[in-house]
Amino acid sequence: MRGSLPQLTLTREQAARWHACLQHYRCYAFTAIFPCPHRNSTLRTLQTLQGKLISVVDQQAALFQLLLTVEEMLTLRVITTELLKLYARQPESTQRHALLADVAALQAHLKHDG
Amino acid sequence: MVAFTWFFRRRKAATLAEPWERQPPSTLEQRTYLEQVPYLLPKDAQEDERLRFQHYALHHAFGNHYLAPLSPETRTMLDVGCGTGVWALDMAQQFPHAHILGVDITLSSLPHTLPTTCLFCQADILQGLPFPAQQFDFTHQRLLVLAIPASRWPGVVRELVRVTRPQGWIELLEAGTTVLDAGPATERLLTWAREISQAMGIEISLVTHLADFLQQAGCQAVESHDIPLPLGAWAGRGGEMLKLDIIHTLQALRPRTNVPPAEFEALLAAAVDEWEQQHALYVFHAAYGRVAQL
Repeated sequence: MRGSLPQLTLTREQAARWHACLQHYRCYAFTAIFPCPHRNSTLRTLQTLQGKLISVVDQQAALFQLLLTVEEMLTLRVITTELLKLYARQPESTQRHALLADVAALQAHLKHDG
Repeated sequence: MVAFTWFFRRRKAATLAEPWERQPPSTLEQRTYLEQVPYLLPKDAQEDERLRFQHYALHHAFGNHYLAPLSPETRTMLDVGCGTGVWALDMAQQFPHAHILGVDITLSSLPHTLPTTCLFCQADILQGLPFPAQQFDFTHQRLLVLAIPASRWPGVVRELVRVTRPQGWIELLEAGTTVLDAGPATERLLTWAREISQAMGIEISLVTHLADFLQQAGCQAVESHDIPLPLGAWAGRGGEMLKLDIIHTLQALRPRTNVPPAEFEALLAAAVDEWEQQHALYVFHAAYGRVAQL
């Protein structure tokens, strides 16, 4: 069954962007969403994923594969969608466009690799 | 237990009586307080019960026992100010292959039965930790603001960094005196808590600078979160648990002051009413960072 687990092939730059995305979502969820089993489960999954991402980045390879659980993949899809909505509500700015572009690229990568 | 062979070599020394043990604890209104250490809260069975309850209230709120993005391969952990040992015991279940060491100024609150992967050692972070450098993958310290004088914070965090391995994580979690959407009774209670702390050299507002302390001590990839938690039964079980914990914490501090019990209880009741009516939020402050690679 292990072979059927989804995996992401990432460059170091993509890993850094994924990491920033996870950080941002965790910050947002801690401040904007009241504690509940669903929020906490999502946060736990993202925390674990952040740890996995840091572990593979530590290995210094230029390109690496991140093996995900099905739950992690589903959570990533949900949070990229939520972050796109969140950024879309922000006032027009260069930073907002950059964030939207980043998350959209990550979402596309997820669809392609996942 | 290869990971902690140095610990066993030092164990005998660690069991020698410390200064605060030679001085008997003081009793105020049936609560027991340690002398000669700047610790504001009591050290007795009632406080142990509160600490255990608080541990589960925090888990209910945060959904986990830690916030740093630890690798599943984390093998050695240190809990500074371990209290009842409940954090270490729960982490031992979550990380069954990890060795977890807890330290506190007294070990009287620990359970009698401990898993083989957990060890506890008497030590005072203000006196320095009795461990060689770079021993732990994860060093955790939470809710010690009422035990660390303001001037000692930078040194305490440097000591946590010293015992943590390069690329290991350090996590700090504290609660301050920020309650959002409360009212005048709550503000009076918080002012009172700040004043009795300051009289002992403790500055609660420093909990908003945890990330700065980590960065100044050389940590990298520092992240911080200010986390508002619902305070009161209006928010369900989690809010009720946090409310009870805050009530019992404030009641545990009161014998340190000259405030008459009846006056204090009336003010507390008014504050609780504000939390429920105005849907108050109590802000926790967390920061974690990595020790730089050599």
